[in-house]
Amino acid sequence: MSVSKATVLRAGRLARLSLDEGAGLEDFAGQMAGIVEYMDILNQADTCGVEPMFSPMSRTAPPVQDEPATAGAGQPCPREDILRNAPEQADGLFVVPRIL
Amino acid sequence: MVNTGAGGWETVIGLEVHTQLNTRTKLFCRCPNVFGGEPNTRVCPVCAGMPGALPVINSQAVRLALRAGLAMGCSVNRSSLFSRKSYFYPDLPNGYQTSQWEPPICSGGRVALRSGGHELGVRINRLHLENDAGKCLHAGDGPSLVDLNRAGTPLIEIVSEPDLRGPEEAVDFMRHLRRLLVYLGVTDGNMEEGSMRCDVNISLRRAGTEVYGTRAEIKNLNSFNSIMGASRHEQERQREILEAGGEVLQETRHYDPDTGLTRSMRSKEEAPDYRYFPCPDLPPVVLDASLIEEIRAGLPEAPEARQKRFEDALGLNVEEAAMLVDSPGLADYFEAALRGGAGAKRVATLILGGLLPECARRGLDWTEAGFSPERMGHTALMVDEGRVSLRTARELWAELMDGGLEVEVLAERKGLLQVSDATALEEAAREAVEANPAEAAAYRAGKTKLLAFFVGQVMKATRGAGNPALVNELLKKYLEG
Amino acid sequence: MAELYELTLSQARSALLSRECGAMELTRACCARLRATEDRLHACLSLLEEEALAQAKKLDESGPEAHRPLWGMPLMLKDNICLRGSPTTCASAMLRDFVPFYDAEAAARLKSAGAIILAKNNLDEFAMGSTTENSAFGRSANPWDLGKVPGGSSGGSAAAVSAGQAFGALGSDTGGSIRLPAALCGCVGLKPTYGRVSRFGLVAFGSSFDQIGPLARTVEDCARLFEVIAGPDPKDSTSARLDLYPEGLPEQNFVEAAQAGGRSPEESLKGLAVGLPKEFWEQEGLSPEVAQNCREALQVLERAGAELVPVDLPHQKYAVAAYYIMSSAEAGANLARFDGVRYGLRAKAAADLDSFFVSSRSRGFGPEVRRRIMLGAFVLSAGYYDAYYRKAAQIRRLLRDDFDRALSRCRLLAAPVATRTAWPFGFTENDPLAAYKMDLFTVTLNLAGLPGLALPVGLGAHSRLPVGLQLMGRPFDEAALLRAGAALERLVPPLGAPAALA
Repeated sequence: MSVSKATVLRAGRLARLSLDEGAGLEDFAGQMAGIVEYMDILNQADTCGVEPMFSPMSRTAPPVQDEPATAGAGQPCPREDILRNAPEQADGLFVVPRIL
Repeated sequence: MVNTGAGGWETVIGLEVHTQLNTRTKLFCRCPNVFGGEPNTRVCPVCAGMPGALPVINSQAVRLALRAGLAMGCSVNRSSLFSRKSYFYPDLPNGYQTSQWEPPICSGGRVALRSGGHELGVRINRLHLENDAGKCLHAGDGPSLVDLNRAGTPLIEIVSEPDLRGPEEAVDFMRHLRRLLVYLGVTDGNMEEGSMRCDVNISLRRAGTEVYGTRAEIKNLNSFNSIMGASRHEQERQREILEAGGEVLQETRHYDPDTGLTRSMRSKEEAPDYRYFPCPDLPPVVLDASLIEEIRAGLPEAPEARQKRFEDALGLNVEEAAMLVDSPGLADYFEAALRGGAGAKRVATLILGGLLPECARRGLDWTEAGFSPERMGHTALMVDEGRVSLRTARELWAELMDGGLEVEVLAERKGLLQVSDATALEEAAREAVEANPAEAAAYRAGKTKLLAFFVGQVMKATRGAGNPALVNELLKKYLEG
Repeated sequence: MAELYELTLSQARSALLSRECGAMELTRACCARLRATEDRLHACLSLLEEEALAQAKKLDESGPEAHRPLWGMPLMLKDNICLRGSPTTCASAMLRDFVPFYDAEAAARLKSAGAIILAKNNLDEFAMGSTTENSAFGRSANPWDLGKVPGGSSGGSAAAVSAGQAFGALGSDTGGSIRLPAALCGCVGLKPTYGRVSRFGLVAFGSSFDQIGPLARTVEDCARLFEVIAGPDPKDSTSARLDLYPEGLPEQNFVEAAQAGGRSPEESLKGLAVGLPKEFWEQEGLSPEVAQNCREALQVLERAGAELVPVDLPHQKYAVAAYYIMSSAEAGANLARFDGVRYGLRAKAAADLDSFFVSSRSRGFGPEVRRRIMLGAFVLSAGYYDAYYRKAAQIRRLLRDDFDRALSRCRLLAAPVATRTAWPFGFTENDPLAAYKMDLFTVTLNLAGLPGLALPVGLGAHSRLPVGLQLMGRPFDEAALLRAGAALERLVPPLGAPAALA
C-alpha cells in the first residue's frame, strides 16, 4: 500500500512525535512509503492457517510467589533512587505540566 | 421487568468493573500492594518503568482472578495472553498498560442476583488481569504531580453484557459484585480507596424493541451514589435528545458528582488507538487443569446460596440472614458458634442483638471484640437450656466481653441465674395462688388473662429468676388442677 | 614479547593466575591502548578509568582468585546495558544524563565473576542501526579503515575489542547487532539463543529479539564471557529454564567445547553436517570477495571432515520485512516510556501535556529512532495490525519451521554474516531501506530465536577488510557453534592486528 502524508502524521500523533512541516515531513513520508512498500512483499507469502509466532520464547518459569522481595530489583527502592533521574521533582513527587 | 420509568424508553446498561486484587505484592514486581503511603516509596525499577526493567507475573493475582471467574461461572482459558495497550499519560510509567486482550483469563459467565424484588441474571462477557496506573495529583494552580505507589497494583476488569435495565439494577449489580468479590477474598472492596471502580455503558431504546441504541460510556465511577447519579442523569439526557428527535452520540463522558452532571470527554472519532499487541516480555499464562480444579473446589458457598440456606434450613428471617452474610466473616463466625449445639435462631439473636450492638457502642469492628465463636455458642446454649434468660444474657453482654467469666457464672454472682428448680418454683406458685383466692376464683371462672398476674407474683417472689415457661406450667397446674 | 593488551582474554587470565601480571597492570595496559586509539575510533561513550583502576588495586590486594572466571579482566559494556552508578545513554540525547541505580543482570554477573568494567561503548542510538553512525554522540570508526563503518549497532564494542582496548565486551543483538560489527571489525561475536541470557537491565529495543552476547578476539574468549552471563534469571520472564527440559539438552560446557575445538580441530569437525542455505549463498549482491573468503572457509571445513549439505530456507526472502515490522512495533512500545516524566530529556515550557510529550520525545530521539517508532505505531494501528504485525508473526513461524527442518538434518548452518565488507561512512545515509537490507543475513536468526556465532575467516582480496562467517545452530546448542568455530579459527590464518592502527 502507499503511505500518505496523512498516515505519517497520524503515526506521529500516536507516537507523540512531531514532524517538521515541509521538507522534513516530505522526506519522512517518502522514506516511510518506501519501507512500507517493501514490506508488502509479505503479501506474496501464503500464511493461511499459520499460527503467529509472537516470540521465540521457550520454556519459562511459572508465575512467582506473592512474597515481598527481600533484596534486589522488584523490591521498593529508596525514593531518592527513584527520583534521581527526574528532570523535575518536588516533595518526593515527579512534576509535570499542569493537567487540565 | 421492563423498565419503562423513563416514559416508554428502556434503559440498557452494561458495566466494566475494575477491582484491585487483595495480593501482598504488585502484579509484575514484588513491591508491596498497600494503599497510600509516602509518595513514591513503594516503587522499584519495574513499576516505575525504568529502562531495562522487566515484569514478572504474580501467581496469587492469577489465582484470585481465577477464583473470581469461577465464582461467576466463567469458562477458563487454559492459555491467556498479556498485551500492551499503548497510550501516553504521566501516571502510566511504561507508556502502555499491560492488560489481557485476546484471550483473557476467563470469559462467558453469568451471575444471578435479586434486584427490586425480582431475580436478575447478568451475563459476564469477560474477566481479565491488568495493572493499575499511578496517580496524578493536582493542587491549586501549580503543576501536576505524579505518585507511582499505586502503579502496578493488580486489577481484574469484569465486563458485563448489557443486561441491566436501569440505574437501580446497575447499582444492585455493583453491590452484588462487591459483596461476592469481598466474600471470595479477591478484593478488600474499599471503594473510598478506589479498590473498585466502574465504567457505565448506557443507552436507551423504545420499550419492547430489540436493537440497542447508541451508547455513551461514563468513565471511572467509584461509589454506588455516583453510579446511580451518573446513570440517572445520562438516562434523562439521552431521553431528552431522543424525544426531541435527535441522535445520541457514541462518546465517552465524565461524571461530576458535585453537579450531578455528565459532560463529553471525547467522541468516537477521537477514541484512542491503543495499538494492542502481545507483550513480548511475558509468557502466556498457562493454567493446569489441576490448578483450576483446586481453585474451584476451594470456592466458598456463594453468598446468595448461603443466605437462602440460613433462611430455609436454619429458620432465620431474611433480615437476620442478610446481616450475617453481608459482613465479611460473620457468617463463618455464626456457623462456628452453631457447633456448640445451641439453636440457630438463638445464636443469630445473640450475635445481632448482643455482640454487634455492644461493639457498635464501643466503636469496634466485631472481629476486634475477641469474643470467640465457642463462647458465643456456649452463651446461646445457656439460654437454650434455661439457665440464663435471654434478657439477662443481653444485660450481661458488656461484662461478658470484658471478662473471661462465662454467662452462667456472672448470672450466679448477681443472683440472676434463672430458677429452673421445680420444687422452689412450685412453692412460690402454690403461695401465689393461696395468697390471692379472689383472683384464683376469677381465673377458674374463665378470666384466664389473670395468669399474667400470677406470673408477676411468682417473678416478684423469685426476683425475676424464674424460668418463665416452667412458672406458667406450674401456675396452670395449681389454678386448673 | 607481545604487549599486554594484545593478549587474548584466555592468555591474560593465565598471566593473572600465574601472577605474571596483576589486574592493575592489565587495566593500565588497556587504558594506555585506549588513550592511544580512542581519538581515531571513538569506541567509548564513557570511560570508567578511575573506578576501574581503584577496583584493580583492590583485586590485586586479595590476590588472584581462580574460582572467579573473569577475575581482574578489563572488559567493556555496550552503552545500552545498565551499569549501576554510571551513565547509560543508549547513544541518545534522550538519556544523555541518565544514571541507572541498578545493574543489568549480565553486568552483575560479569562483576561477580571479578571483571573490571573499563568503559561503556558507543552504539547506534537505542541499538537501531548497522553502522554506529546513528549515535547522538558521534560515530565510531573501523580499526581496519578509519574511513569505514565498524558495523552496528554494537560498533563501539567491536571496534574496542579489535583494537585491544579491552579483552572483551558485551553487546546486544536484535537483528545482527553483535555479529555484523564483529564481522566488519574482524573479531568474534556470539548471539545466544533467545532466552539464554537475561535481558534484565538491557534497555529494550525489540523484546522478542534482543539478546546480550559477548564480543572478543577469539572463540574461546567468547565462550568464557558467555559461560558467565548465560543462565536463567528470575527477573526476566522470558529467560529459559533449562531444568524444564527433561528430554535433555545438548552439551552446556562452553569453554570446554571451545577449547576442544581449538585443541583438536579435525576431531571436532569430522562428520559434522554443516548446512549451506542456498538463499544466503546465492543472494544477489553478495560481494565476490566475501563469497570467496567464505567458500574457502567451507573448503577448510570440508577438508577437516565436515559434510557440507545444501539446505533451503524458503521464507528467507521475507525476513527483512517481517523483522522490521515486528521489531519496530515492539520498539515503538518499548520507547514509549521515554516521556520526560521520570528520567530523560524534557522539553522546557510546554503549553499542555501533549505538546510536553511531543517536544520532549521529538528532541530526545534521533531520526532513525523516530522513524522506527512511527513505523511501529503504523503497523499496529487500527486496520493495519492483521496485514502487517500478525502477518509478520506468521512469517516468523514459517521461518522458524524452515530452520527446524534444516537443522534436523544438520548440526549447524554456515553463511556469510554480511553481503560485503565494511562500507564507507554515509553510504546508506538518507536511504533507510538500503540500511535495513544490510541486515539481510542476520535478522533471520533473531526472528527464529536461534544462536549464531560470527568469526573472521580472512581479509577480502579486494578491500583487505575482514570477512566474517556465521555459524547458526539449534536452540541452546551454542556449544556446537563454539566447538566448530574454535576448530575453524585454528585452521584459518589469523587476521593479525587491525591495519589502520598499526
